[in-house]
Amino acid sequence: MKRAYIDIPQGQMHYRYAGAGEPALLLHGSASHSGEFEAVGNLLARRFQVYAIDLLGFGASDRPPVEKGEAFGPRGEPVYSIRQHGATVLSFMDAMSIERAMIFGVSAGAAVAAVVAREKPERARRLVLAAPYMPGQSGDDRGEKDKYPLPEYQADGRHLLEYWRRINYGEAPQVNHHWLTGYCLAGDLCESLRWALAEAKDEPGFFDRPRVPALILRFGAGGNNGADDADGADAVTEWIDGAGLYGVKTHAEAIVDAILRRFA
Amino acid sequence: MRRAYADIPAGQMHYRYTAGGKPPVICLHISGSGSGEYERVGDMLADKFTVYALDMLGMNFSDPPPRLYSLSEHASTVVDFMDKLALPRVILIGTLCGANIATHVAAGWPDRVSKLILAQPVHMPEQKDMHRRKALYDPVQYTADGSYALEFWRRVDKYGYPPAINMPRVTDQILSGPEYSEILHWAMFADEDLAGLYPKIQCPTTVLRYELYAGSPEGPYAGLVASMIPGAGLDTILGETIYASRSNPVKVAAMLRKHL
Repeated sequence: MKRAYIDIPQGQMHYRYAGAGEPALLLHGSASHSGEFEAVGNLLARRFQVYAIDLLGFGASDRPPVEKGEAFGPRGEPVYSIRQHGATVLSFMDAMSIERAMIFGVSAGAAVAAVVAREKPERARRLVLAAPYMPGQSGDDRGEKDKYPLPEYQADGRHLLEYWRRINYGEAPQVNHHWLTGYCLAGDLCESLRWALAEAKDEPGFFDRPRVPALILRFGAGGNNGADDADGADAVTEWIDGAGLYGVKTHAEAIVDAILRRFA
Repeated sequence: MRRAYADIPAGQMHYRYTAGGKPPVICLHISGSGSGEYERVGDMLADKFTVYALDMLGMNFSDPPPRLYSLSEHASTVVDFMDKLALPRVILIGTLCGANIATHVAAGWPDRVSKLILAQPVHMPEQKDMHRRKALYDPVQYTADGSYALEFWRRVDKYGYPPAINMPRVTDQILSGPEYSEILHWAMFADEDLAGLYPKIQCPTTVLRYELYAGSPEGPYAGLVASMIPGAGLDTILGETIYASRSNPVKVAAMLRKHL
């Protein structure tokens, strides 16, 4: 995928792009960046005009105007909320003259995708939510800010090992390396999406029944495919067998197959 | 500084830049680093100059080169960048390995460089010393427990700076990854002897040294480099070593402004 920057009101946004056709936006998860989607993006580019965005504060994008954050970090500091990140996605679409798009979000990015579709359903042609990290679904969310405080830089560099501890789910180091990079690039914002999610769970109806056709991709050993998670009138769930949390990198073909089967 | 990409023949080159319309200055970073090295200095010089800080191919957000490039090939990419942005002549600044790349540009494309600043050029008369050091720059090897991340830290944390100053360069190297983080060092160690190029430089040149870098293998030779470049001046950034552009950008910008 090629890379570029676009100006949105909130700052310079970095993104990857490839292909032609119906627009598809790809939104990464916590402490990640658009590079997560190199494989998925190149495969989807056969049928879609793909844009993989670095959310503000991540990858090569500008920091968001954090002082305007509507959420709060563990020390009460302002944090850019999921809703505010969703607004930047809409700003990106406006700047790129994209009227409607399929919006694919993974993990925390799925929450951002869901909020865009909830608030502006006319802009989201369809929704793909991969390994959705939705507030309220884990009883432990209240402790998110306590579980993931900001790792302070250490004089001997051992904060890098703390990053590794938080990202390592047993994949090969070549896979984990992407998220190690993501933590380094995000700096003091590396846990801000997690903190924002902990806040968002208190919003009433945060994950409402999607108003647009949705495909929910679950990573792991499958349950039944079908309308298990029929949280909306037109939502289908598929399992990507063998995929762990980093399935976007490790199971790109299976993910794209599922999307094309559902939405081609 | 803002950020952008230039599409050059070998791939996408990432760079930083300040507002246009002023005399152009191109800045080249040290090995295992990126354009962010000049972020604050560039902003400070933007009143009088349009400053471009390039990410060499393989570094930071630039594409990797199609194969292991020599420093002369990296110099060609600087000229490709200039062609892409329609910059006929620039003032060129390079630090350490970036100074060696800048030397190739000035010697190989004399009509494209109006002025040259070489901050701590890497020149050591004893070539075999350079090759002996090569073992220190072996590619970092992935480890399952993540300890390889500390190897990047160790390679950066050599000059007594606080972690906040080290982290951007560590991030640049982690972003390049084990495959590319050392490619500029390798090119530098395999390079021709620049004593053959220094006398070919035609533009006004200043060699800068960092006072606190004098103890490094290449530290004492800044004066020798200046003596080989026709008409070159020599100056010293007092009280600083090689991450000064991040730790004391005011001082670095003032020194550059003096010689720009």
